[in-house]
Amino acid sequence: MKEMSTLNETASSLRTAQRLPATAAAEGSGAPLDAPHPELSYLLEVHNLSTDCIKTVSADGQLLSMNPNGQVVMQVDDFSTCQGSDWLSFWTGESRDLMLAAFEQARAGRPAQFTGYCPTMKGEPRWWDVTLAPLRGGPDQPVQDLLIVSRDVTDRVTLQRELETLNATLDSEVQRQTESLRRERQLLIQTNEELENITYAMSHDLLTPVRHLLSFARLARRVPDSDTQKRERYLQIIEDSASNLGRMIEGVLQFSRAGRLDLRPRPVNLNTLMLEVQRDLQAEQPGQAADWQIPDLPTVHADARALRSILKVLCLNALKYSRNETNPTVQISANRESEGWRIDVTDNGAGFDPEYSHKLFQLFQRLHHQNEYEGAGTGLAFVRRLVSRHGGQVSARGEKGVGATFSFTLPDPDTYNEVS
Amino acid sequence: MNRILNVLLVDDNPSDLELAMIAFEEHGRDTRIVTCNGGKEALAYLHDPNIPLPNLVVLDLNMPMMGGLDVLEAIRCDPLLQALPVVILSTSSDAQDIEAAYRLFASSYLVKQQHFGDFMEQIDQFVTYWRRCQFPNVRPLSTP
Repeated sequence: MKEMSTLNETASSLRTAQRLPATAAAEGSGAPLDAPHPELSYLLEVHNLSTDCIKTVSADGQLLSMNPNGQVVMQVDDFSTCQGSDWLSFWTGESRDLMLAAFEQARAGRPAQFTGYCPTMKGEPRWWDVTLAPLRGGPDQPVQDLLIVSRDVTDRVTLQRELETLNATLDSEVQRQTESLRRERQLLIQTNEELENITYAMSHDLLTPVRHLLSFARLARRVPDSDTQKRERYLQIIEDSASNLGRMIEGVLQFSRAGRLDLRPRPVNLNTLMLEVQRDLQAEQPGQAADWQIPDLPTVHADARALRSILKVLCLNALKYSRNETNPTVQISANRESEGWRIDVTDNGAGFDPEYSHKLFQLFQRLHHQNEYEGAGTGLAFVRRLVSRHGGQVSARGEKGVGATFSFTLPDPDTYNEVS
Repeated sequence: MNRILNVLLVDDNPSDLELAMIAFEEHGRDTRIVTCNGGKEALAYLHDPNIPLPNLVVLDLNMPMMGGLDVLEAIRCDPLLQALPVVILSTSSDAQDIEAAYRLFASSYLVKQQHFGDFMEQIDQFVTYWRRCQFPNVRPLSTP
């Protein structure tokens, strides 16, 4: 009871003190002018020294008083300008709902608490832990005013929010990485399966010339000395099978190299590159003349060595399959195609049955008989592998007896990042 | 029974064809072998109305363009050729290939032997078995 009246007196002293803030400040000690009791003087001292913002607010929300340090933290230069203002209106948004609930509770007679956002008078952002307590005129009196103590918890709240943001960022980063890892794993499984299939198919295909070597060696031994022609033919078959086997193994090595090559993509001028390719082909296949139709070609983004190999294989094929034509022609062209370049190599040679074009790029698959056009059947698989590593795709169109076009795409830089 | 066994041998590899012919030569009096380089050629031969159908077809699986299984399927789907016995002679011992062949009603599946002596024996058994068979007249009588 005594505390109640003491508080009440303190409150009225506070109000008195607030009316003369300048004087109080000039005093320096922060002690109010009126200090009727020692307890009161103690309480007033607490009131003035505390760095919390201690306020009294009327039951209908009017701001009645604010302690000196509270004015500092709220950046109030002159309390008289905000005295009597609607304290409830300081709170907006989510904080307002919390504040109203607490205010009601305190007005009903029960202390309440909430944490909310309220900027200073100068508009700087602040967060507060606010405690509200009812002040009655006397023991059985209705609630007259509210004592509201606000503690600056801006640092704590800011830190907490930063932590939450960091967690959310980490969370989405982890998700992104997991997704990326999942895709990589998928790719690895696929690649592994492919390699398993290739290894199996390869072993099978490589055994065929071996079988021929064994069989014809046995047969050659059994041929009577007189039959030199037969023996000669068998020996020729042995030789052909051995070189066939050699070619197939070399093709496999080349195919393997396509996977192991360290790719260093950079801008490559296709015209310059084609000159080199033509020079290479001329050196390796001097007999093969052709009408080369090469327009102005763009600069593309690729590993120079890889691109050279790709073009060389495609041009070699073009020359090979058009060598029986009276006027063998090889055309190179480049067209823009959805964020990349498509490069075509067209010949007017033997062509192929389009029904089987899906087999073209598989290892050891051929669409022509060995006796018509020799080859291990590994070049196109090699090309496809290199093109895939650049993020591109291969395709082919052909017509028997008319010719063929082999194409590959090269995406623009930054649209593809090789999963390494 | 001195009937001659008429066989159509389909394989794209000339060396393999030669080896088969050498192996069949041992039974030269009892067999007549016709060879084809690929699936399309084989089907054209089988459809030729001027040539009587062979007793059976021996088919390699690993051929460019039209593979052996494609040829087998074409034969089985063709009303004129449906009942023709087809024997697969392939280097592949892959369970999937064997299963696929039998699912298309191949009569049997022989895995080509690596060693020629074994291969000769294989062909030997093949001829002995099939010469014992009675072949129905698979080409239907043409109605005028």
